[in-house]
Amino acid sequence: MSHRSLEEIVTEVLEEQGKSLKVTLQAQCRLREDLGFDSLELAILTVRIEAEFGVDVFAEGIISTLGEIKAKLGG
Amino acid sequence: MSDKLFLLDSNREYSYKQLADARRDKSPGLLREDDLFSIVAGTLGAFENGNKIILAPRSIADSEVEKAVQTSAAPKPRGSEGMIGIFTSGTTGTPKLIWHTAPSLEQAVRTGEKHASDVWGLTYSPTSFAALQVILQAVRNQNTLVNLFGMSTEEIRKSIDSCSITHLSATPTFANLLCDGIHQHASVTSFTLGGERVLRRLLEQLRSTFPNARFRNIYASSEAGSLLIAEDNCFEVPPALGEKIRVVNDELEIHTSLLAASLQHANTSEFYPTGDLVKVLKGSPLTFKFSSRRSEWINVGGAKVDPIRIEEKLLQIAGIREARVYGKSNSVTGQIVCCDLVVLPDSTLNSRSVRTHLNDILARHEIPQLIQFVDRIATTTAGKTSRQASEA
Repeated sequence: MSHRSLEEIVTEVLEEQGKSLKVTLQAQCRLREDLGFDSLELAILTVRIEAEFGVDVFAEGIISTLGEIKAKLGG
Repeated sequence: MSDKLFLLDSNREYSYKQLADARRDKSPGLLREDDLFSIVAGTLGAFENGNKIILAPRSIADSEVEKAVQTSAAPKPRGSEGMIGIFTSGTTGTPKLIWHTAPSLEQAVRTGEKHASDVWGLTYSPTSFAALQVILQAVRNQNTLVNLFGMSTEEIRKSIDSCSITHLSATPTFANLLCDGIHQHASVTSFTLGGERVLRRLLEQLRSTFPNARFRNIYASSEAGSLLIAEDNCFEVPPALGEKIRVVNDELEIHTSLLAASLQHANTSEFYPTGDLVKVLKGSPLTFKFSSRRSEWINVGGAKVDPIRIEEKLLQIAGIREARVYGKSNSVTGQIVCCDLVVLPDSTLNSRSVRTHLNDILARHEIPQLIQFVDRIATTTAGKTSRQASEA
């Protein structure tokens, strides 16, 4: 089964919350500061990523950038 | 004793004479849900002979039953009273063994000429408290009882019609399965709903499926038995129970004198907290409607979400037939709201369109963030909607 990409999920969550993406998604993008995620949106992001990839990326400590999520998902 | 038909169970027939013969036998100690005839004979035998029997579903192993017997509050026998041990259905947590006497099990039974030709369909697990209520109501009036527990929806429909069942008692979740917008069952004149809150939409669907039935909503618990009856969702406490039922911090509390025998001895305080949350509509006489059990509320970053309220909102969306809302643990906010949906065959709904519908009517943290489209909603052994988180 082909996964949706992390970028697609990030964009979906922000759009649903009425937020537009102001920057190009890159590994160093910080979820809170650069992309504007609040706690609830991070929770939503977690549950969607888990549904897609089967990994709870926030389970073991703090994640702050897109690159760190990618690393948890194995690249 | 008459040869009147007592029980129809999977094409086997038993007469009231056979029941009378069986109950004279020595009551066995432990009875399982797949032997309804023995359960009825054992229960009546225990009442008459002052024995103790235990009813348990197959899901509780013999060793667990034994452990529960040792740890449960031992009932103090009053004279030679028979005792029936049943397990609480437990939408959450470990099942508890609770001992009942004939008076606590039969307090809601009504007998008389007008019940003489009732035919009962049993939808509940035969070892449950709710089933015993139906069984005793039928037996005390020498009615025919038809076992519908464990049958497919199709078989249940056929049995209702072929046996001309007049009385049904079921959980709203079970009742919902019978509403397909096509079939109608004219023989049913009385339909009792219990165990869960009844949604108005379900009541409308039931009225068209069972056009001749009168609907009643009952509040009963394994701990206290049948307590309150309502025409709809608003329960009014009758004068006789006025001093014995109260609401503290939105939770329904009942006086210990209304409890099953074993719990009366185990409780030191005067009132027993039921764990059922209610919304008080009127103070005198006390009138209220139920919301979810406290243990089912979903905690999203400290904000409490009532799953039933969200289910009601989901069911207002065209195309959604059934909904189950539950909390899934989340490393950021503790829990997050999720749901399973059963949609109509021609529905084009997807996760995104469902959330768009909800955006204007729910707060952000109340909107289900993981939506799964399923063929049927998970239920507990008691036939209630399960709100336990399902693991992926």
